[in-house]
Amino acid sequence: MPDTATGGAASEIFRSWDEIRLDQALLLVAAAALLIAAVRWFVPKLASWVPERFRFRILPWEPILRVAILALLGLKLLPIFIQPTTENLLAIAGASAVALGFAFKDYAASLVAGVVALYERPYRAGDWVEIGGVYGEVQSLGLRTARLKTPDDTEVSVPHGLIWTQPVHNANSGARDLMCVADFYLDPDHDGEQARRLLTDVALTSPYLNLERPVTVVAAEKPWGTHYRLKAYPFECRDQFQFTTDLTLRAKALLRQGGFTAVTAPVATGGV
Amino acid sequence: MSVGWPIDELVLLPDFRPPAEPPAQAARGRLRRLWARLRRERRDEEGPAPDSLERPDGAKCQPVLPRGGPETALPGLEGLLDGWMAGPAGPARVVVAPPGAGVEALLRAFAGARRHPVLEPPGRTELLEPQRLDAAWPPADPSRPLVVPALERWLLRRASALATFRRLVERLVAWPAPLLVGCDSWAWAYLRRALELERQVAEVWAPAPVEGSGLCRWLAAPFRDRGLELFDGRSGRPLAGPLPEAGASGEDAAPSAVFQRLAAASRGNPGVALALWRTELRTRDDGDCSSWWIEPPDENELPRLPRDADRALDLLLEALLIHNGIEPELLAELVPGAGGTAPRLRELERAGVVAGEGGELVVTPAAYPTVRRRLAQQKLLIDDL
Repeated sequence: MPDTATGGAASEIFRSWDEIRLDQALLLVAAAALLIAAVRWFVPKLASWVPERFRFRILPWEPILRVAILALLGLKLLPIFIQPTTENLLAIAGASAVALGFAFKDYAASLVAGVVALYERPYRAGDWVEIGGVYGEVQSLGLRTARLKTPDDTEVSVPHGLIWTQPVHNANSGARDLMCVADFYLDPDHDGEQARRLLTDVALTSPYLNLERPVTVVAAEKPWGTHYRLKAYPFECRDQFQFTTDLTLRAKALLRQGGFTAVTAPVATGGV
Repeated sequence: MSVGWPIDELVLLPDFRPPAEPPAQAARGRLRRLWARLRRERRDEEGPAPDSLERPDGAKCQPVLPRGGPETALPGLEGLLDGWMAGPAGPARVVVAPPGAGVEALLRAFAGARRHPVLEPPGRTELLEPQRLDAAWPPADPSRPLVVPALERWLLRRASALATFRRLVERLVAWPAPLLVGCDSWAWAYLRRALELERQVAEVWAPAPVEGSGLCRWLAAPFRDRGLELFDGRSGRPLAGPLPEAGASGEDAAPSAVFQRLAAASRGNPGVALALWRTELRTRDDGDCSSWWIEPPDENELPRLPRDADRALDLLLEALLIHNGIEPELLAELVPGAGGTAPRLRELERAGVVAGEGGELVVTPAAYPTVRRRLAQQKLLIDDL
């Protein structure tokens, strides 16, 4: 009878309760947890000791090591709970695949994306990225998600799976600095050369400016005025907000002093 | 015979190489310190026990410190400087030097001795009004050579003051007679990047770094002159004896080894070396000043940056160095967001990192190596020397 046969096969897959070494299993789980905690502590620590250029090579190993530890734990636990025959393993693998496929489709996609992200490196720990409309610094890379800290000090977990469907904007891509842009909107009736020099000098006198990188002023004429973009690099990514604020506030004050008039809001143009 | 300020040569800026402690010697030193710490002994039997030595106060130190300031280096350099000033007019020659090296005083002494006119800087706040420069120009008969001893005093890192600086550079470049400019190395590091100043001058020179042998001649001279004994506190070897032969090694090189360490720590800057030397001088605590020892100070005896040093503090120190000293009120304006500047500056003053000098705050020579190292670690702007 089919039902009996199935029941018999199932009973042979798992070991009987008396055969299961529960203490050994618990010990393995505890050891794995301890090892994962050690990896979580040690890898960032190691990354902070080594020179900056090695930091980004070391940090990605943290999630890889964790996956390896979990995989090893699974392999060790398997023979404790089941009879490790070829048929049993195939049955379990098949059942797991179906279960994963249905229940953890998105989860699995994120896990795979996480592995892909480790190699393709669309972002690394320390990068300033925008994914799915969230801008922030990548704090850590987990198996399923990347943890971002926004400028408002909010931690956001972004699933790696988003890299399949969303563009990833990486502002520094492993570099120590990134370009900052301060925008100014001026009444079009002014001396553009003077405005450019003034904005350049504002950047050159900022304490946050990385002088090894260029300072650029880009002007564009719009129907409602002149749009200036002051582009420069701070010493470090973490200075970006203070830097942009410093540029904006000092340039505003100097532009006002120099007789420039700001355009308060774009004016709609065109036919009625 | 006293020895003058040990700047006896200028080198082109790209050729500047700071003195280095020989690697083998540095490694030996580290091992020896570790071993001494393990055995809890810092010197061999020739020296007195560390407990009987004290760090002398300023008055006690004064007689054993070299006499005369940077102007005493003039005899060794006046030939070169005279040659420059007698040559045809053209792009300026700039002498860049780190804080404490004394180049401003040297150039002033040179200008005074030759009666060359000197371009005196205005007050820093006057730099915010570029038209003031027009009113005071030319500062001297344009047919005569001009000396600008401290270009950094014309710098204020504010947008409107930068306009004054540009105007000054335009005028200096057009000066029809020879022009000699002195500039602090930190201000130069800023100016050459921000305004590409290097392209507008003929040559940029720097004082040749003072090596261990030069420091030995200079710093041990007062001891030799007065017949005082000077020992290496760690080994007990005498330091004020005859100078070691060039190429000497082992025991014979011991004195120069002590001074070479000092030269490396100060990057060949005599002002900094002198400040560090003062922190290392020891004498008996019973008032007998006939014997002296050189002992590297404990970490807590040297000026130290606060443990909670952050970006705002780094930027304050960087601004201080770029301006080679500035009024505290102006400094607070130059570093936005450094809220609570005054308490931080007081903390730095208490720690001996900065000190007041003529109404301005400056980084002290003894703290300079620490501050420079810190700014380099933080990847902020640092000088070339």
